[in-house]
Amino acid sequence: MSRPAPRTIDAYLTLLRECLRGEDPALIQDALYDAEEYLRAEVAAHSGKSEADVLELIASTYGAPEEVADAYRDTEVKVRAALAPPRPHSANSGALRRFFAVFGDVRAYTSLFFLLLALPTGILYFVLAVAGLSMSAGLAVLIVGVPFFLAFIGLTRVIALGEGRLIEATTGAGSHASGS
Amino acid sequence: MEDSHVRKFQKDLNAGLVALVLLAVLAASTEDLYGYEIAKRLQRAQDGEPLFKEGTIYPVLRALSANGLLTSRVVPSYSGPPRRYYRITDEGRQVLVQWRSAWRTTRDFVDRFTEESPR
Repeated sequence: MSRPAPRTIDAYLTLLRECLRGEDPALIQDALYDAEEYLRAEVAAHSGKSEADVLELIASTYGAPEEVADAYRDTEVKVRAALAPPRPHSANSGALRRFFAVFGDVRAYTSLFFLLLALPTGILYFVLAVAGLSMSAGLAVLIVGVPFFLAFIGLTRVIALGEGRLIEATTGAGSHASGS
Repeated sequence: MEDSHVRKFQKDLNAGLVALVLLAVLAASTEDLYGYEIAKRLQRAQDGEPLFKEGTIYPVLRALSANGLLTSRVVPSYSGPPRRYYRITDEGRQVLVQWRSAWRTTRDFVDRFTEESPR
């Protein structure tokens, strides 16, 4: 409460990150991501007002960073307890068996698959990036270069998003891979 | 401090009810909704002081999604970070029916004791 209220979206996100220090990285990422979606939408919805004016009211609508951090922490604890029963960790199994346990881990194989997939997808991304950039530069002298560059940048965002989903699905990173 | 008692009580009340309201909103909606849209819908339905901060619905949405009651998909947006759209699953609809009846029972029970009957 002693801290001054954030005046910009970035300042708010920085405060929120501070409030969540020490938590699970996936939780922090979720919280920042949600807050940014809300704050940007809120600023866009009040196009007549400045960012600072909108942020001033944020504490009473979205909630102050401390409150939001608490909400994520509480929910996370509850969901963890409900969703993830502690893994049956057979303490009596020998060190040797634990050492080789990775052979039985499904996630290890999906991760391996992801690494193998990295070459073809990497080549594809690189070719797309080089072709898109050079064509944008080349066509910039003509008018078509501008919309072409726009479309190219849009495509990279879609690809980046798709790649993120792929990583989540194959390595189990991120907290939304589960669910079904 | 009287105000803090009220806030604490409201927070405890909200713990399960926000999930129920979110599930009901998504069940009633014909299209997928993202967090901000849901927050604004709830805000519009309530005059005066909001019962809960809009920031608290996001973690609940994620929790419902992790429990399989909602599904979500991410759509890139040009005006900011990608938006996560939520939709209720069949399991979510079944759960909603049970939650609704649990809520009605609880509400009637609480009303019976807390309503000030005219004497």
